[in-house]
Amino acid sequence: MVMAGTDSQLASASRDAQEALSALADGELSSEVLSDITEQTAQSGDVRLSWYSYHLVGDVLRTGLSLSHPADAAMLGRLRSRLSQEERYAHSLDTTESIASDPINTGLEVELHPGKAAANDARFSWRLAGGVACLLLVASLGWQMGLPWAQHARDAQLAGATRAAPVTALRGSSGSAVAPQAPPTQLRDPKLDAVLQAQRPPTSVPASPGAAGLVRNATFEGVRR
Amino acid sequence: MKADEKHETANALKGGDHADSLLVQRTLAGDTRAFDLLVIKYQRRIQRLIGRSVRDAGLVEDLTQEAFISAYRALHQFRGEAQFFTWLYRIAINTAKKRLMAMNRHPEITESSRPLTGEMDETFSRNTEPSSDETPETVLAAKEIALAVDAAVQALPEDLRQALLLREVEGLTYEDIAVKMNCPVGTVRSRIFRARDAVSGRIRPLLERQAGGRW
Repeated sequence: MVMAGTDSQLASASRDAQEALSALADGELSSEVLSDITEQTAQSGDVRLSWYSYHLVGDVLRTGLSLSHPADAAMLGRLRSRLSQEERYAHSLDTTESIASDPINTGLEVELHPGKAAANDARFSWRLAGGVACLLLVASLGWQMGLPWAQHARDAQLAGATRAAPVTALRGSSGSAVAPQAPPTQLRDPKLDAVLQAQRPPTSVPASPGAAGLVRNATFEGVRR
Repeated sequence: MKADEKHETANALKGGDHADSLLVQRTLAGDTRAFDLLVIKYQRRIQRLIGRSVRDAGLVEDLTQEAFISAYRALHQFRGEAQFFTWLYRIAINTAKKRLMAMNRHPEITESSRPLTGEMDETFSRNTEPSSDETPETVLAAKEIALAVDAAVQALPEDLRQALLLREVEGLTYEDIAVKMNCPVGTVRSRIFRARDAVSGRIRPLLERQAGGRW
């Protein structure tokens, strides 16, 4: 007697849940009773089948045909077991950047977990270090081998140093003018100087008039006449 | 389709959208069982969508699961600006595309190949686009179900049949149906449920046979 009463109560509860499911399918159910529905759905395969068949009936009535894919109740079980591994993810939804912000271009494979180390972090570090080392090596070799830009830079640097030298020689640390330093002493052989003096022509005119001498001595006096 | 018919169908779909929104919110609130209802509701459509470009039935199921898992992970980013099925549909397409490209196969499904607006999401031309993994058995089973639904609806009492058709075919809300049938909203709800229950009872044996009785 008690058993019969319990069975009828369960049947009544299931029927109420199915009626609520029917209303939910039509969007006519308030969110307050939704928790009862999800509870019943999780517990009862009968309720799940009802939910499935209500939508199927609607599809058939609207389109005239049912989809040829068979009902796959087992898939839901497998999917639930996989989703149960996602529970922790569900709790960290706020801090997780996921893929479907733009579903059209969704990078479904990309997920950013700011707090977690990526599985390939170690490999990435080694690659980064290697890349930096290679870059430094190439830059150093380029500088030493005299790449055009490096040569140009070095020439410019030398020219700048040459131009700057007299200025620094003329100005002391206090900015006052100082005497330039004496040129470095040059050792010359006096005999060699005497020989060079003897070979020098007596005037500034070259000994053999060349083209330069002719041009230098040319006048326009004849034209005036 | 006339303008008012279109409007009514859109209303019907709005009801479904509201249900989807409720289930999404419930899932995000931590009740992951609500997501089961979305999976049960849409798994046939997603399977069929993926089945258009994948012949391997195992791969179809695998990709369907992957699409739902991706949707679950990204559910907090679903803002409700589009219909849930539109959003899910795109995720499923991208999942299939990526897998096929990874397998060096050319994905045949394209975003532009079918419309994604309004009621087309729910009723896109199923009749003219056969799934590539259809078999004679599945086609036969689908026809069996369609015939059973038709016979069950014809056998319904007039008030139940009218309420069901006004809701499913005409797309009226419970309030509109109540006005048309001159009865309280609660009665409409009850009639629609009883009609569904009767029709569902006729196709249950077929569905259980398909699913191997594992519901």
